[in-house]
Amino acid sequence: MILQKRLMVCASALGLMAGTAMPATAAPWVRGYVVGQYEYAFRYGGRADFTRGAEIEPGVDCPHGASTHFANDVNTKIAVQRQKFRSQQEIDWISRPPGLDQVRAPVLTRFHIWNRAVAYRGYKRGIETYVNPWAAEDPGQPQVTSRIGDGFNLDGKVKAADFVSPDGEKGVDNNLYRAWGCDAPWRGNGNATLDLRANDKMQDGLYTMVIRVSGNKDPMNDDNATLEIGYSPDKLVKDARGGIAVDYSYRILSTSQYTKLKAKIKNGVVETEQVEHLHSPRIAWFYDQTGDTNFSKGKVRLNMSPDGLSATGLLAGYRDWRELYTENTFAQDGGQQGIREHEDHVSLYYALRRNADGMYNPKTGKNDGISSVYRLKLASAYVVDPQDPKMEVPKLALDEERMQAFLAIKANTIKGAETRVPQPVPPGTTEAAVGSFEHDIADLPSKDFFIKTLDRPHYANEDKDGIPPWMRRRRGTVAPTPPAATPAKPQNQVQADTPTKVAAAEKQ
Amino acid sequence: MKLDRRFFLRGTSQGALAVMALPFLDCFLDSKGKALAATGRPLPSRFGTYFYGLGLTKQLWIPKVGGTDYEMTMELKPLEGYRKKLNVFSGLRVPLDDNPNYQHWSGAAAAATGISPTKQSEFDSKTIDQQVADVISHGTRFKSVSASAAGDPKQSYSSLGGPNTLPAEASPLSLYTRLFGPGFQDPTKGDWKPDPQIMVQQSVLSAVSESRKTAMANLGAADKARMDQYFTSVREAELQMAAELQRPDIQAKVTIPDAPGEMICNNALPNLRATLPLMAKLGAMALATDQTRVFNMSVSEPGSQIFVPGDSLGYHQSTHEEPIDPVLGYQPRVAQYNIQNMELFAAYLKEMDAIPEGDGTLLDHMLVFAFTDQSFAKIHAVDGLPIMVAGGGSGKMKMGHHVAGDSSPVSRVGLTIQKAMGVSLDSWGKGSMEIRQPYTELLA
Repeated sequence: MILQKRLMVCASALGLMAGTAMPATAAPWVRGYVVGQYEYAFRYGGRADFTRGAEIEPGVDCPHGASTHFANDVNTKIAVQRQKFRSQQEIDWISRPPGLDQVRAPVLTRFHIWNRAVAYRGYKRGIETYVNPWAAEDPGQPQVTSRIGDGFNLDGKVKAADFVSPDGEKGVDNNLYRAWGCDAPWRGNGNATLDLRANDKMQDGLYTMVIRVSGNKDPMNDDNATLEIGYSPDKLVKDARGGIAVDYSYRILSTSQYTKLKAKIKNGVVETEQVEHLHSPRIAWFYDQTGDTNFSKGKVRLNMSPDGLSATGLLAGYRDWRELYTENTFAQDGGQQGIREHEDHVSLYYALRRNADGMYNPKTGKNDGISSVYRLKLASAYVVDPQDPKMEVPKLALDEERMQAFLAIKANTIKGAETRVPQPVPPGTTEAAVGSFEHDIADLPSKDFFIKTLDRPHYANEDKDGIPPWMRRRRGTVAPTPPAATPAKPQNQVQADTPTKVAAAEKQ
Repeated sequence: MKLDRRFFLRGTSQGALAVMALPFLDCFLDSKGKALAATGRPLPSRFGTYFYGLGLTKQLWIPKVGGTDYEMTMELKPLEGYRKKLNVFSGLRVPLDDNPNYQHWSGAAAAATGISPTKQSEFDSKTIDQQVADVISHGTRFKSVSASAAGDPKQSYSSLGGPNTLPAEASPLSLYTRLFGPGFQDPTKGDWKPDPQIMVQQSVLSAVSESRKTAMANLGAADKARMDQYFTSVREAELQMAAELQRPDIQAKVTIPDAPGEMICNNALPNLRATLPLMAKLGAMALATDQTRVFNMSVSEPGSQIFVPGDSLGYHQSTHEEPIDPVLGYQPRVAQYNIQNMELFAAYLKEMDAIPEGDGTLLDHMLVFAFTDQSFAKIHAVDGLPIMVAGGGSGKMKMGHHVAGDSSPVSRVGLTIQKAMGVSLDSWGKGSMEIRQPYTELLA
């Protein structure tokens, strides 16, 4: 009996303690994060311990390995011999330009020739390929065949071709992974080139992305929480080791690239509602790529660590696949990135088009969107409102010219894809190695052949070498060195005819 | 016969005049071998920059520990012989602020000026060599001399700011001609006279300087500023001419060779292995004979187009196209190019260290600032730029250190160098790279 009483007293005391403890856990709470890594949620299926000096190995994701477009002269030859308008000499000379051994920068010279050539692969001469990918033959893109993929069931259906998540969730929609997961620069075990590059530039201050989660119960369990995702005008702070410094303050802008979502939290896993438009910053490694993702049917899932110092997550929805194409193609120019990264944006265009699975357009009867999942890694931060709630995303003044050129080429590309009328390359871009090609093949013995054969539409105010004004500005020269002044031999750049013999060695 | 530091051995060899400069004999120097006995002035400090493109591989060049007991990593190994005359800086940052990341340019420009550039291929201020030259180059024939081992005069990282890049000599013959060709005043001739043309020009400038006072009095503020800028250039020209009216201040134990023959100068590595040491040797002679006190050497453009015969990709393209080996964690072929780049740097240092001077070598009396454009070229990363300083600056900088990853802006190295070289300044750089705190532990 005494024991029972004591137990009751203890139970009552515990109840009181619990009662008094409740208000503390039920108080309003906020957790802030800054995004330290932001990349497409592609899963690498090769062996992590495999090593060789060529392309990343085949795996369960990509049985034929990663893409190898333009990886060597043979692959480039395959790409340019598809065009019926080219002569055999043109094909042979493009793939292996004669006289390269006589120029001072043979690799760069060949690179510009390839860039110009692969930028014109339409059904007739003069159609720029990357603005008009639909006008070129599909070179083919290896696609992901694995059944396992990260993401959510965005359409509420479990279809035969859907992925299964690593946790066993069925019906996962991530067709961007299917289309592009075998693309060389995006495939890797934590070392995919463009993942590294985009993260490096974000961490260097190109843009900052923040997330704020708040609620009124326990941060690890709250069925009425809020998640805000958006752009911060404050540059990401690194620690002394180059990692993301924790607990710095960042403002979150609510004017654009911003979404506020209802969320439920269970054991630290934040699951938001699915909304018709989810705005957030884009993945970018150049300023002209930055902007709004504008996911359709978007949602977010975060996995917060109990100590609040870090989190991982997924951000998903349907993105307009033509925007994805332009953002990735015209960061620099299609040929440059294609040759250097062993990818072909024509292939990527067709892969996006055939895998488009959302944002149905009743007017065309086609899907404008492709299910896309982005992976997030976050570090704790203080996410605060700006003093001026109307503050806009700042512009990078020195790169605005490039941004305007990007917007123009994007508009032309989408217009061409919709109308099937070939569109020109607007001024201001580096597409088709404009200017670089003309400038850097000056000492090639076969330059006349290439300048004639690989000619392109011209712009106003080009100089006599065909270099347009914006390229002259970017090169930092008002005018390039005239070819006539280029010496026949590099060593003849000395002005003096005969050097004066000042002194000779004392030989004894 | 009394010898002084201007005494030259003379003779004839195969019908040609043969001249040999004398070393800094004890009779020229003070009892400690550190200063010129005649004037009591210390041996002049010399400065050089050394530019190499595309950086290094992080895993292979950063020593694990800081301080003086660091290990010579795989990519630093070629510099082993100069370890005690070398400082290695890792973990330096290049904050871009609100400027674009100009690929292959922002890093190089930031290292050379302490400023994140606002334009591709242009420096936003005078480069460090010119800032140092403003202080140490008085009395020399050339304020600075630049050379491009790959044969491109545009491969110069010496600038007065904006589009005013100072072109590089693009071959050994060109460099030789500039230094020891027409216009070279042979100080060994008994009837040595200043160049009459220079005297005429100087007198013209003097006349101009008289009349400019009148002109300035009638100008508005903006025009006065422009005129000031203009006359600063005029003043520099005057100083240059005054220098050419005097014999060189010092001569070291060097034998000026015959003019080199024509050589192919391009990006092929075997050619660079021939041209770079030769141009370094000529540069060293120019420094040793006080033709100039600032010598800049470049191996390549920022996106280095160096190639090994048979490699269809070359250096730059390899940085982009070669996959990262999943097991090694780096790009093996790129790493090989990195090492070859460091071997070229070692060849340059060898020439600077080969000339005995006072109590050491020429290298001991200079500082060489070696910089690059990228930390990880594959992704055009700039944070973690590999920077080295070689030499000793006549004892004004402590050497043999690895200054490990403290996340300082790259401009801190430039500020420290300038402090060691006697440049009077409190801070250096702009924006997030403006720095007031040099590496005081390295300053003697």
